[in-house]
Amino acid sequence: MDAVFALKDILFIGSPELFLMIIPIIALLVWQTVLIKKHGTFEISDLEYLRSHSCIKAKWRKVIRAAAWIIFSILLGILWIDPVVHTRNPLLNTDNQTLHKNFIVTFDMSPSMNLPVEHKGFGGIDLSAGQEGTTRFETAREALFDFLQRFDGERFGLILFSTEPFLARWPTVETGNQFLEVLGDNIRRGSGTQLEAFSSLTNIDKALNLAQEILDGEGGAIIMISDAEDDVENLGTAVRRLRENNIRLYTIGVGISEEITDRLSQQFASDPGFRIFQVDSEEEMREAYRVVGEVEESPLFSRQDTSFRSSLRWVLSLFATLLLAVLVWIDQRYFHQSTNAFIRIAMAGK
Amino acid sequence: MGFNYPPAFLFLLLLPLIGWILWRGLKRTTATTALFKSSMPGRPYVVIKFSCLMILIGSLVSAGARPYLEPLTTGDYLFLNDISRSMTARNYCSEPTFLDRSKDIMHNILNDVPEGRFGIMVFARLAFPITQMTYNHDYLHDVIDNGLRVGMIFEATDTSLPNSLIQVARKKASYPELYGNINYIIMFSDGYVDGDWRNELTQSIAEIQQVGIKVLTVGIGNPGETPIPRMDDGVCKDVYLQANGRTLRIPLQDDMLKFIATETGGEYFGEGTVDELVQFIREQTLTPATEGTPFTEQQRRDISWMFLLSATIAIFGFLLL
Repeated sequence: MDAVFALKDILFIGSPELFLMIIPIIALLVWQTVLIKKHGTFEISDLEYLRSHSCIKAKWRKVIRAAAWIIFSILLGILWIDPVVHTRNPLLNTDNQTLHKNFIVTFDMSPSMNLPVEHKGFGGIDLSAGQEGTTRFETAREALFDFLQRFDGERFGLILFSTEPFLARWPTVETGNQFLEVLGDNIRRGSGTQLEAFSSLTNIDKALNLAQEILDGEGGAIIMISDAEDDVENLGTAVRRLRENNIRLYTIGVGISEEITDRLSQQFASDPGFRIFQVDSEEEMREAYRVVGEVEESPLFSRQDTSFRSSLRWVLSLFATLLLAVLVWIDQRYFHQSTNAFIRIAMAGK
Repeated sequence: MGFNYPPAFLFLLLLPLIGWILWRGLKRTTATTALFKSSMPGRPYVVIKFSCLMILIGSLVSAGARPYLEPLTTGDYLFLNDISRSMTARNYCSEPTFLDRSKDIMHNILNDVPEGRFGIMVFARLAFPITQMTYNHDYLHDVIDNGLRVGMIFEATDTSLPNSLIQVARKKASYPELYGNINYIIMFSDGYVDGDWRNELTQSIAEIQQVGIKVLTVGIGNPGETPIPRMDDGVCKDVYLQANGRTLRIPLQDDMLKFIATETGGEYFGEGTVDELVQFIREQTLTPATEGTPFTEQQRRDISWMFLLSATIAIFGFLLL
């Protein structure tokens, strides 16, 4: 019974009613095989000819011929009903991926993300438009673009958060240069961009809540990039809540304290669905993304969120073509109508 | 017509083999009829029977090549949606909000212009795109239903319609590879703004004209003013928001929306004239699709059933004869 349910889960029929399209063909074959009963007489030499050309009696030849063509007609009927299978792994190169791994990237847009990436803490001088140096925001953004390329074809959503979170991109598989557009502006002081206008305080809780809301029921992974140090208790509670909903959380903390990183890492040491990284340079940022990528590509998480849809119509059409070639050969070689003496002799009127 | 899997046509190499098999069968028919002193089938009989088989094979191979039809025209459009607090206005909790009404119109446009590429940008005080420009209409329907809501950008109580137009113009200028083909934006708003809007719109209209964008504005609202029910924990209450001790009421400020449409060379449409809006888009804005237009499966129509139909008729004819 399990096998039957499994088959129901993966095999879908587009148009079952179209199987009726083959009824005229079946009816024709039945009529030819069962209902046409013409008999004739023939000379001994003709009988010898028939014996030499077939070891099967003409009556059975007709039945077998009809059965072979009925099987082919059923295959044609299967083509009509448009069968589709859903599988965890692609069966064919042209399969459509229908269920994707979900990533929500939550990006801290607070003004402190405008500090140089090597800077620790929140003090110091923000970089403004026209100044040299790479900011935390820019470093995280560049590393994200590389990460998007690594997971090309998977679904990414983007939340920008400040005082309030903002869903800048509903999860989509069309990443490519599309995210560049969202994050293309910078938040340097004086840049006059929308992102700079949006940049204010930091509210991690609301950002994680929004991400959870979007992933609700589907599971997936949240990659949070922030330089804010939330309370360990608060973050711990948020992690547990997300994990209960089958959501993984990777926190990339730019310039956060080692103490928080260590405490949270120890607290969730046994859970592969949570990681926290302390990042103080571009190299460490890329390393953090690399580790996240490896965890997500590991057997533990690599395929659990994905599904592929394979239409079988075109494959079966090509199979039917091959089968037809074989069937025509058998039909012409063994079940040739001209060697069916009963019909031909009756038609000859002897 | 195009094919997703052209290598399937290699299966047509079977045709000479099948032709040879049929030729051998014909020879056998000749020998048998001579032996039994019967008459050979007529030439039309043979031709029709052989043709049926060739059509059958050709049809199966064509169906295996995954044939499809693509639209001949297309166009890029950006929905520019007001998500300020005034878009939650409605007379009763049982009524759809202004935003819900604008969503319905967006759904209609997506359904009636399936060959179009659309994107969604929202605005209150700030303006951001929330989707990429895409032919994936299922995705857009999903975003409209689940992702689009009032308050999704900080400071939803403020509406800066001029800023939204400026941001669209700058997007087109900054990212021509993404927004370069947008000649029309479809703006949904109640037009509820304070201040000297004519003066405030001067710069934004100049910028939008400069990048060659026309604005089709859709006024969302009621003939009279509409209150905003209070929401408590996501539940609508028939108690209305107050401002300065009076119930806050939202008028449909269509004069401003008409002004924007006129100044940019676009058109104004009311909620009741969505059919005219769709007609306008279809008749006056669609342009011929080029060879590399990245249509998705939603624009491509699978026509393998046509080949299956010819295969079914052909096999019937072959077996009948």
